[in-house]
Amino acid sequence: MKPTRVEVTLRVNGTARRASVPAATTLLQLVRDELHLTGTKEGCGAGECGGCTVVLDGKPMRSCLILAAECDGASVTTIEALAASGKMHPIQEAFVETGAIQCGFCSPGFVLAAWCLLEETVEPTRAQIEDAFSGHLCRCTGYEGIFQAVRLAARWKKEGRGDWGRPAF
Amino acid sequence: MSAHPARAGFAYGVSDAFGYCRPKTVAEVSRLIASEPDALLLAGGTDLLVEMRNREIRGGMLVDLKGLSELRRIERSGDTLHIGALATVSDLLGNVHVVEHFPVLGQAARVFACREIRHRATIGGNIAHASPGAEFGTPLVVLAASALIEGVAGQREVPIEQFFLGPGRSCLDRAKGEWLSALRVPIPKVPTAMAYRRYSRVKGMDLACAALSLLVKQPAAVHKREVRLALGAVAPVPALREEAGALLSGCAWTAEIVERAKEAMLAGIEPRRSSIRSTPEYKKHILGVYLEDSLRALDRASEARP
Repeated sequence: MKPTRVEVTLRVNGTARRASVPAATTLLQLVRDELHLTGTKEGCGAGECGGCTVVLDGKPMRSCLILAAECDGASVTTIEALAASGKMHPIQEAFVETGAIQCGFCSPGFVLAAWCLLEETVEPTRAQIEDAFSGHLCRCTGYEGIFQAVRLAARWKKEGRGDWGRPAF
Repeated sequence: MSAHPARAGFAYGVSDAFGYCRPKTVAEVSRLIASEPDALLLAGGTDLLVEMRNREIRGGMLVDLKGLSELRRIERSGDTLHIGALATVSDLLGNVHVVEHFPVLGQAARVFACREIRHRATIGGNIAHASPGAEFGTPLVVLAASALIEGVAGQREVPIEQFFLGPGRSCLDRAKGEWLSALRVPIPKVPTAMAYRRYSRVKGMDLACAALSLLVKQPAAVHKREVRLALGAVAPVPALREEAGALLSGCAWTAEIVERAKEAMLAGIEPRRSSIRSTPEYKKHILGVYLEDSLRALDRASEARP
C-alpha cells in the first residue's frame, strides 16, 4: 500500500476548512498541525487522558482516536470557539474562579466536556459530573476544584449570568 | 505531516503506508476484504487507531464502514432485536428496546470506557476484535445472540458462542470476504432478570479484570427458573458456564446450591498469570462473590414483586 493522501472538507468552529493529508492523519493532527489550533492537547495519544477532546457533530469525542478522513463533511468545535469573541466563556471563568486550573494542559478537555454536560443537563448531579469526567485526567488539581467549577457554571447558567451563546458550529 | 522533528515518530501519516476508502455498499466491503489482504475494517476506530499509533499495524487499506448508515440501525423485528455493527455504545444506552429488554447489555454499556469513547466505539468493533474481556461478549452470550456475517458468498448467521475462537480470533473467514455486520438478539418471551458485574481497577477508562453476566428466565417461579451465566476476561473467549447454569435452574438458591454452582462456574477456569490487571486467584474470588451477590439481589427483587 502506497501512502495515500485524502482530501477533507469540514467545518471547524463554524468556518469551512479544507485539507489534504496522509490517510492515517488523526483529527488531532489535523487540528493542531494543519489548522494550527493548538488549544487541543495531545496527552497520551491513545484515548485515555481526555486532553484531545473536541466536539464532533455535537458530541464530545477523542480527536486522537479519529482519522481526519472520517471527518469529511463533519462539524468540529475546539476549545478556541469558546472564547472566540476574545472574552472568556462563563465555564472558563468558573474554572478560574474555583482554582480548577493549575498547569492547564488538561483544561481544554475538561472545559469542553463540561460544556457538553451543561448543554444536556441543567443541574448535573455529582454522579453525572463524575461520569462526564471519567475519561479526563488531571495531575494537578485533585479534581475537587473542577467539580466545583461545573456546579458554579451550572448556577450561573441557570441565573442567566454571562454570555452562554452557543459556540459556532 | 508534523513539522516538528521531535514528533515525527508519532506522525504515522509520514512513513506508514495507509490507504483510505469508504465503500457505499455491503457487497463492496466483502469484495475489498477478499481481494485486499491488508484491508483494515474501520468502525469506531477506538482500538484500531491505538494499534496504528503503537505501530502494531504499519500499513494497509483502511475500509471505513461509516459510509453505510444502515449498519448503525437498531431495529425490532418480531421477537428479535437487530443491532447494526456500527451502533455506538451511546446508541445502545439511548435505545428503548435495549434498555427495556436487555438490561445486561445496558449495564455493560454504562461502564464502558468513558463518555467520549462511548460516543464513538461500536458494538461490532467490540465483538469483532474477539477480545476475551470484550464488554459485550458475556452479555450477548447469555442472551443467546447471534452474529450476522456478510461475505462475498452472501450472509450467514452464527450463534455468538461459535463466533469467538480465541483471543483476537473469530470465525470470520477473510478469504471469503467475511465481516460482522450485525448482532441479532432474541427478546425473552417470559419475565427475565439479568445482571452484569465487572471488576476493574478504577471506575472509568479501564478494561475488565473479570466480568460476569447472568440471565434468569422466570426468576420468581422457582421451579421454572432457567439460568445462563458467562464469564469474561478469565478464559480465551467469553465463556458460557452451562453446568453452573443447570445447577441453578429449577430450584431455590440455597447456600449449598450456590456453593456448588460457584465451584462448577470456576471449574477449569485458569486465568493467565501474566495478566497485568489481577492475579488468577483474585479473579476467581471476585467472580464467586459476584455470582452470590447477584443471585441474592435477584432473589430479593423477585420477592419484592407482587
